[in-house]
Amino acid sequence: MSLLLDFIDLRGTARDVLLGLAPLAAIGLIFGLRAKLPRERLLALARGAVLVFAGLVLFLQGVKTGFLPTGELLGKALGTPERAVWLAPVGFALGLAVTVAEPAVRILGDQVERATRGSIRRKVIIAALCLGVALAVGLGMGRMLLGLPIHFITVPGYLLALVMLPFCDRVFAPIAFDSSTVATGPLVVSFISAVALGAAEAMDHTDPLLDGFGLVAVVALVPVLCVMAAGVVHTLKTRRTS
Amino acid sequence: MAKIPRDFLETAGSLLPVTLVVLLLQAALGFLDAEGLARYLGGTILSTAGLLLFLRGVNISLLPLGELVGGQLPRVSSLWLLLCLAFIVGASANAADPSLQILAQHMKTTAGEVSPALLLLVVVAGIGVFVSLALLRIALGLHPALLLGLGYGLVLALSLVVPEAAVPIALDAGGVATGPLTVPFLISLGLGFVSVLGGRNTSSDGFGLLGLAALGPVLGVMLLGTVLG
Repeated sequence: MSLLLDFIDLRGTARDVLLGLAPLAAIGLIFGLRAKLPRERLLALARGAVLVFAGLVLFLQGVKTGFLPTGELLGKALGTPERAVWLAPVGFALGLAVTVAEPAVRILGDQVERATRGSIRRKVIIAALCLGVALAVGLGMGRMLLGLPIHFITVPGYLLALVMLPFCDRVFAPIAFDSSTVATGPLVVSFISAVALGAAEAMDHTDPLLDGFGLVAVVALVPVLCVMAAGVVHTLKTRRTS
Repeated sequence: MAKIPRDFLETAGSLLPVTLVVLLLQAALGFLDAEGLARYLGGTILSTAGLLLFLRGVNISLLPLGELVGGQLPRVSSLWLLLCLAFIVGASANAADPSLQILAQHMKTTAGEVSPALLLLVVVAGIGVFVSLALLRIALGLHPALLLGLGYGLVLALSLVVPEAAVPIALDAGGVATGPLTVPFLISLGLGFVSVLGGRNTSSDGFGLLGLAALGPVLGVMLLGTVLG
């Protein structure tokens, strides 16, 4: 029965969400009144705010009672020495699973196709992103297993992005860096991070603070590199033809 | 047959592949008992319902609000006031983001020496400062790649110098902070801001805000890690 009570007891979550939303609600009220919005639009804003509040409470409650404990248990199950070889392949599968269905990834695909005037197809970007994130999570989990510092992934990644920067047209850099947010949705942040933290806790040689974190950063890097690479290819192509 | 709303399919669909992977792993490893499995499925249903309501609310209120605020900001009389307001608006939107609360939960699990509240404060302030900077860049008409290149170069350099324990969580903070509430709000804020300034290339000027904002928490947490040693 405690399980059902856990799900239903929304008080703690509701208080946290209310506290978090209060400043934004105040800003909405002040700007809405100052701009002398008509009554209907103010009411629409308020209705939307209620939906945002209810949605956040339910979502966070589901994350706290469902995703986080499951992710941690999965991580702990994978952190035992005889199963640790599974970590990287499971990371790959989870990375693929969260990216394939992410709506923001498809929107980014359209954006890049437009920015390159069709020379880089939407499908190519989406496939590159999905594979990239899957590889990144797999690598991230693998690095934890080997106890390597995060620098082994982030330093080459950031360097590569910075090296490509001068070689692509000015439209690409902002799209590329903005896109770091497309794959780091709430699922990556809650579920995949919980798996990593659980695994780091279960392994003796790891420190959860050093090894459990860092996956989100690695996932954030992949879209940047993909879009930047698309930009370099497109820029070189157009320069050659002109 | 009743028509199933598109956003319902999208939201439910986005959780489906992960659930499949979890169920496959459960079949292979059996890492969950019956209660754990019920917990996961119940949590998935709650989260799907929650995301659905949340996304509806974002469309009705958050996007119009972002555009409204973004459109009002350029009318402010002084540059300093504009920067202060941008800080407050950016930080407030970020404070409401569910990803931050998830980060706080993760912090509890690791039981580090840094209190989650202090860390969240630094993250939120970092977003605020960098939203100000991003709007300042648009107002001054600087090349977007310049600040992005400098900022990411700085992160790269600092990641090699600051205490090692702070690096993974600092780098994560950027991706965590740009969560499902902050991203759409900042996009519409930037669009509103650029549309009122007018004249310049609106489509490319609106971009770059998120990439820059994501740097704030990273640099902030690195700084915090250095101060605390």
